[in-house]
Amino acid sequence: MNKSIDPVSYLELTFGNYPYTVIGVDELGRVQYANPGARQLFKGGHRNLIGSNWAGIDVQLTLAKWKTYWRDTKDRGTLAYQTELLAAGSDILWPIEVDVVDFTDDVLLLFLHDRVERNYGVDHFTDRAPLANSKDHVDELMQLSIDGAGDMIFWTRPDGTFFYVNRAVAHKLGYERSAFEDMQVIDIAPYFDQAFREDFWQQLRSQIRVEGLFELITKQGKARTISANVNYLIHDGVEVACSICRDMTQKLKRDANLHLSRIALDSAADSIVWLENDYSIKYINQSLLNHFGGDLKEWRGRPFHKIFPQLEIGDIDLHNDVETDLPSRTGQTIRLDLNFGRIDFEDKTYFTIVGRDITESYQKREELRKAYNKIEDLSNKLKAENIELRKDTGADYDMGNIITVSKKYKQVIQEVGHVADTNTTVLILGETGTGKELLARAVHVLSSRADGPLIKVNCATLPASLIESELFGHEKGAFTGAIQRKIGRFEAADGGSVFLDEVGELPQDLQAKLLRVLQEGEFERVGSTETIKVDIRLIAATNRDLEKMVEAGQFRSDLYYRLHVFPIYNLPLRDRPEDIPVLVKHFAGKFAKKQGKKIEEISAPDMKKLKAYSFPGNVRELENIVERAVVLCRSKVLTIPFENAQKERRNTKAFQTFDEMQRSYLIEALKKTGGRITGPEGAGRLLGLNDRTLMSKMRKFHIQKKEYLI
Amino acid sequence: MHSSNTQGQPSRGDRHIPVFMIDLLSRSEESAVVVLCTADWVGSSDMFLDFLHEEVADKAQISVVDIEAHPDVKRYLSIEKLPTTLILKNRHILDRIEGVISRRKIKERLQDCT
Repeated sequence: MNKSIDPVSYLELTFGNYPYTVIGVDELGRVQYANPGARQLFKGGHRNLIGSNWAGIDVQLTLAKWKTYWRDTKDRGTLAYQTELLAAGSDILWPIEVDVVDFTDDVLLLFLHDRVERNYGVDHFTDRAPLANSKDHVDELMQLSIDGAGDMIFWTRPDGTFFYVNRAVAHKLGYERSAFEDMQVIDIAPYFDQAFREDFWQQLRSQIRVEGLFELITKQGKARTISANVNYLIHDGVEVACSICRDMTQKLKRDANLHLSRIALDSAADSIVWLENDYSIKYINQSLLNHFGGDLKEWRGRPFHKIFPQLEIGDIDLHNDVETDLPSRTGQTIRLDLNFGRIDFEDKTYFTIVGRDITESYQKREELRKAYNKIEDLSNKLKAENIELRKDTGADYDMGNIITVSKKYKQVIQEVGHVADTNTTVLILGETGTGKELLARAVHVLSSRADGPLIKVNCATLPASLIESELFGHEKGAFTGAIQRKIGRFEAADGGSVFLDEVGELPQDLQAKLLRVLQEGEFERVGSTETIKVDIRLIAATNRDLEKMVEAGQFRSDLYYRLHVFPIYNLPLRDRPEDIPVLVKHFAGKFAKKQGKKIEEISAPDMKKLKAYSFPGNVRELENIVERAVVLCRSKVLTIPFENAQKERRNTKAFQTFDEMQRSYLIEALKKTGGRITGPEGAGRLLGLNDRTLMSKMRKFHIQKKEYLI
Repeated sequence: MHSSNTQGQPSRGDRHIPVFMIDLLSRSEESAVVVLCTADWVGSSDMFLDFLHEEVADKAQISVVDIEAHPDVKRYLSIEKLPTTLILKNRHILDRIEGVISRRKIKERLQDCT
C-alpha cells in the first residue's frame, strides 16, 4: 500500500460496491471505516458508526481482548474469531464470524459473516473459502477487491502504456481486458498525446495526486465522462500513475435532469414548497420568491407558517385539500388551493405543498355567495311582506271606511293627511277599539312610501324573548333554535313603514335599540356585528299613558320624546256620539247584506239608548253589538239587545272604585234624562236622591256638562 | 286601496245622463274636471278634498258630488266605494280613483290625463 493514497478513499473505492460487510477498526477499538454493507447493517448510519467503540457493538469484546487480537493480527497478518453483535436500537444478538486482516499501521479490517446464515447482509462470506492466516492471502484478497471494484482502476506508465486495468475498465469501455496490453492511453483518451502526457506526468510527479474530469472514448466511439483521481506510485522502481475513475456520465445526466426539473419548478406559475421533517422550509420556488421577495437561502430553515400563516401542521395531509390566503407585500391577498404530498427518502420524510392561485374563481364564488345571501334576504323579505299583505286583504283597513260626521274626528283625519307625506314619526294615542291601526295605515297609504311595505308589529303579543329577533332579525346560530338566518321586521320594512302597535309594552332593553333605529336608521341583527342601514318611517301606537310610564321609569324618556314628535289623539266613541247613528246604520247595512236580511230602520228608542252608552270598547264594541242585533233581528226594524251589551261591559271593564262607579253612574243617569238634573224628569228623581245632594255629588266628582250632554 | 283606469264613455244603457253629469261633462271641454264623489259620513273626504285643492287646482276644476243627494249619479257611474274620484276631459272619463291616495299619486294621475 502506498502512503500517498488516503486509506479511507482507497477502502471506499475498493469495498464501496462490494456486497461484503467490512469494518475498519483502530488500535483503541474505534471504528474508522464502514462500507455500505456495514452501514446498512447498523442502521444508525455511517456518521454514528464511525468513531464509535466497536466493543459496544461486539458484545463479547473488551478493550483488553481487542489489544490481544491487534497484536496477533499484526504478527500473523490475519485472525478469525466468533462473537455476537448488538444492532443499534435493538436487543437482538447476531452470532457472527469475524475475519480480521491487517490493513495499515493504524487500522485492521474486519470482514463479518453470519454463523447461522441469516440474511443480514453478512452471509456472502458463508460460501467463501476460509481465509488462510498468511500475508499472501491478504495480497490475494486485495487483488480480488481491486479487480472486482465497480469503479474503473487502471495503472499507466509514463510512456502511455497500461500497466494494469481492472474488469470495470474493460467492461465499461467495451474492450477485452487483454486488449489493453497493446493499447495506449491515447486510444481511450484521444487528447492524451505526447505533449499532453508529458505535462500531465510532470504535474503528477510534483503533486503526487491529480484530480479532474476527463472524457474517455469507448470502443464503439461513445464518449463517457469520468471523474478521475490519479495517484503517483513507484512500483518495483517503476513510475506508475494509478487512476481511480468513477463514471460520471449517468450522474451528469441526472444533474442535467435535476437542473431541468429545478427550472421547471421555478418557472411554474403554481406556488411550490418543500418542507423538512420538522416542517421547516427546504425549498420554495421562484413563483413564491417573486411574491414574497428574498432568495432561497433566506427562506431555508424558516417555519412554514411564515409563508402560510393560516395553515396548521394538521392540515398537511396527503388527502387534504385546503384553501388559504397568501398575504403579499402589496397588500393584495391571493387565494391558494393547496395540495400536499409526502416523500420518504433515505429514512427522512419530506412534505411538498403545491398551491394553485384561485383568487379569481374565489372572488367570483364570494360574489356568488353574497348574491345568494342577498337573494335569500330578499326572498325572506318578500315572504314577510306577503304575510303582511295577506293580513291587509283579510282586514278591512281601508281609510275610506272611516265613517264619521264628527267635526272633531274629521279634524283628526286632517291631521293624518298633513303628517302623512312627511317622514315624521307619528304616535297614535287612544283607547282600545278606536281604530288606531286604521289611522296608522292611512298615514302609510297617504305617504310617498305607499308603494313600499307596511310592516306591523304588535309589541304586546310577541313574547319578550322573541321580540328582539322578530324586530331586528338574527344570524344563523345566534341562539338555540336559530337554524337559519332571519330577516327582521325592520329590515323587511326597508323603503316602507313600520307600525309598532302597543309600543308601551316594548321591553326597556329594546327601547334603546329602537331609539338608535329612529335616530341613525341602523341596527345589527342578533348575533351579528354587521350594521344594517334601513330607510323606514315609524308609526307607533299605544293605549297607555306614556308620559306616566316615563315618570314611573318604565319607558325611556329619550324614546318618548323621539316618538312624541307628532302625536295624534284618536277620539273615543263617547267623545263623538254624533257618529253613533251613522255607524249603526253602516254596520247594520253591512251585516244585513252579509246575512241576507233587509233592515230598513233602527228602533229610535234603542238608538237613544246607544247614544247614552259610554262604549268602553269603542267602535269595535258598537260593531259587535250591531252584529249581534242583526243576527237576532226578525223584522225590518232593528232592535238592539242592550242588556247583553251592558252585561258584557260589566264583565270586561276593570273593577272600579266606589267613587269611580258613583261618578259614572251619575253621568249615565244624567245622559238618560237628557242632562236634566232637577224636577220630576231629572236625574235626582231617577237616582232617588235629593236634587241638592245630586248637585253636590256632581261638584265633588267634577262632572262637567260635556260629559253627559250629547 | 284599489283604483282602476276606465277609458271612454260611461255605459249608458237605457239610462239618462243625470243633469249633474251633463254639466260636468260640458265643463270638461274647457279643462280637466276632477270630480270627488262622496257623502257627509265619509271621514276622509274633507282631507282628500284638501289634497285635491292643493295638488290639482291650478290644472283642473274641482267638483264635489254628494252621492246620497244624487243617487242617479251613483247609479250612472256605478259607484261602489266612497270616496271615488273621476278625472274628466273632453267629455271622457280618463281616470277613476277609488278610495284615498297620496298627494304625489294624485299629481301623477292628473299629469297622465293632461
